[in-house]
Amino acid sequence: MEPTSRLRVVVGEEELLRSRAVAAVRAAVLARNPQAEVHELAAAGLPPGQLADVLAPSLFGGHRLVVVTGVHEAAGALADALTGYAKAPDPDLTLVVVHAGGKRNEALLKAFRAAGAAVDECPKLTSAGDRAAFVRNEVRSSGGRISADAVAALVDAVGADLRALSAAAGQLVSDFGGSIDADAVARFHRGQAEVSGFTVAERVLVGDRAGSLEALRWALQRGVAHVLVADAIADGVRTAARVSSLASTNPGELARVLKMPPWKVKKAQAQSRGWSIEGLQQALRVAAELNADVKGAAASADYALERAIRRIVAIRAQTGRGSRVRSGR
Amino acid sequence: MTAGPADDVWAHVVGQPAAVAELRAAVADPAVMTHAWLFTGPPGSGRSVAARAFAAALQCPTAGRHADGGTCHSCRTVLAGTHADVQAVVPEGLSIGVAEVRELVRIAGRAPSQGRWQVVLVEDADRMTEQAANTVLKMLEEPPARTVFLLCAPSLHPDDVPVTVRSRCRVVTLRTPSADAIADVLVRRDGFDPALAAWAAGAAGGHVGRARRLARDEAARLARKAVLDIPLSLVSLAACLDAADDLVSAAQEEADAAAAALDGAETEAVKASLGVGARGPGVAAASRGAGVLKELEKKQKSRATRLSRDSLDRALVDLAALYRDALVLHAAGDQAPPLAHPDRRADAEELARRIGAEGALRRIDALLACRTALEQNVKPRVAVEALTVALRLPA
Repeated sequence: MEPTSRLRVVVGEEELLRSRAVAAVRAAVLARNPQAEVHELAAAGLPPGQLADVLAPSLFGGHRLVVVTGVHEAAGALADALTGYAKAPDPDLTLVVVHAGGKRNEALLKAFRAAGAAVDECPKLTSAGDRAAFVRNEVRSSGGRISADAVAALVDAVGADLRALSAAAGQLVSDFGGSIDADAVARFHRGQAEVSGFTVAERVLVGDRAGSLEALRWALQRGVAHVLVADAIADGVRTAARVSSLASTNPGELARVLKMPPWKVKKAQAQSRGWSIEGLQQALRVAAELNADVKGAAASADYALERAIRRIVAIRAQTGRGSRVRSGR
Repeated sequence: MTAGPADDVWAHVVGQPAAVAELRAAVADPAVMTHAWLFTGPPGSGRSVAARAFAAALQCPTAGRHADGGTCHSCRTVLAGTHADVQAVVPEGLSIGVAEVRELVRIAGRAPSQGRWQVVLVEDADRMTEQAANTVLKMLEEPPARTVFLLCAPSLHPDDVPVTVRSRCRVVTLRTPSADAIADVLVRRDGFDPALAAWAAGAAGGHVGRARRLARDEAARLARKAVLDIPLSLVSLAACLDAADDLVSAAQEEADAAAAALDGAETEAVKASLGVGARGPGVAAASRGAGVLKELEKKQKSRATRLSRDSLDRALVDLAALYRDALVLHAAGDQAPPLAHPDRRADAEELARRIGAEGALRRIDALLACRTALEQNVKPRVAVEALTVALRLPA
């Protein structure tokens, strides 16, 4: 839809989406009024007088576009001036206020919404699914197609930065003439951009020795602190222990008893499958030793982490619920 | 207690006749005086109390003997910590840093202003960092004529006191005061009911301050009960994790309560002295003192960590004592020596029956390992969960 409203709010944490929204408004305004004056002002440190200057009717008429960026940093007087303007907007002027999300100057946004401003939400893309959809969209809008495994590989390798993802997607489309598959991605992008301690912990808990060691190496390579990896492993083990130590399997009830968010309980339930109580007890001990090791008790924290991961995976394999079935075969 | 009412400077030193005699001789005869003393003894034996009493006796014109049972101005100020010639370092945080000690050394170089000695008292000298200890060492090697160093540490182990410092000090060893001596002082000085005093003295494991706290504070008694109830409750993984949770959150609550009582007032005082919120000319130009506030915040955080660690440590020591009782009862039965928790004899017997001598030893080992882990900065929750799992009773 063409952005035509005269009051607009662009709000959200995602910088790329904000600047795109502003660019879309600018393009629409210029398409309708090629002679339009464009003013772009940063709210931080902007004197209200200067704002009044650009908001005041022009001597020569004609449409004007005023973009005020970073209004979350606006001083009180400026916010009041903007709110005042929103109550009686000029029909020949398009005002866009750009807010980076959060609680600061929320009242200003409310006033704009109440005045009937059009709102562009630019929230941070937190889930991997959203990021994948973003990549697909990027590729499509630059006229290409991308396979599902290629999307996954690209998101893995590039990470959560939308600007980087967008640039990578555009580059791949122009390099490969439209059709992108996993091999094409692998020619230019490899590795794991977003490996945290939790990635390692997840793989450790499901008993994936090779996968967890690989994730560990990536994490250390990327500069994740040893302590964070150790804490994530300890947290994973204790959550699994907590969940499987209770008789109930109802996630809602567990979440209430353990005071954890339901998604965490569900994840821990999935991870604790294959663990026995005895195994979890041993793993808790390993996690505690590891915590001391990464805080200076061991000569090499790298080695301590690797050893602890191997030990936990081995404990799961030896004492786990599934192990007897496997050995009986 | 050998100290009579005439020696009231020494009245707070409980159950240490040999050490008091030695210190008194040093005060009386300059020929047996030494420039540096190291007080060692188990926690609660009154190292800092003895050192303070010694400082008071050194400064007092009558060497701490007041025939009328009263005190003089000098003794009162030393014992209250306000004497001009007694510099005490009482660490509230985790360690004594080199900056603090350098300041101390500067003061130690002065001549006494009114008393007979310039006394420098370091409580918890084991918390000195290596650099700090070396700074003290320089002073000990070439002491000013009228300066006396009094250092307190739990033991002579090189982990506590560097050998170089230890070798330049005269050591006064305090022993664990007997339960009778503690009960006696609780009745005589603090006026507790004899039965309560005897119970508290028996339950405190030779720690005078803890005995007084147990006798005085219902909350402390409940906390102790909660800790000692743990061993027999550990029948499942869920119970172990719950017990760990309780232990850690109790320690955290204690630290939070202390922080709530102290931090706000301290911060306000510092802000007031910096002129925050003041009005009038020149206010805008005055510095806001962000550095000072940050420093204070750091100090408060360190103190909170120490408080929660100390509280956890107390719980671990109580638990170890209960397993020790179980071990003793398993080995000696009815001829067992005095128990650390006489009031929990039934629990100890039950434990002895269920885990045996080997089990008790293993669990004491686990407790000691947990204390070491906490010292190494392991997250309390992680360390204590591993501990309670190790303490779990056999099915």
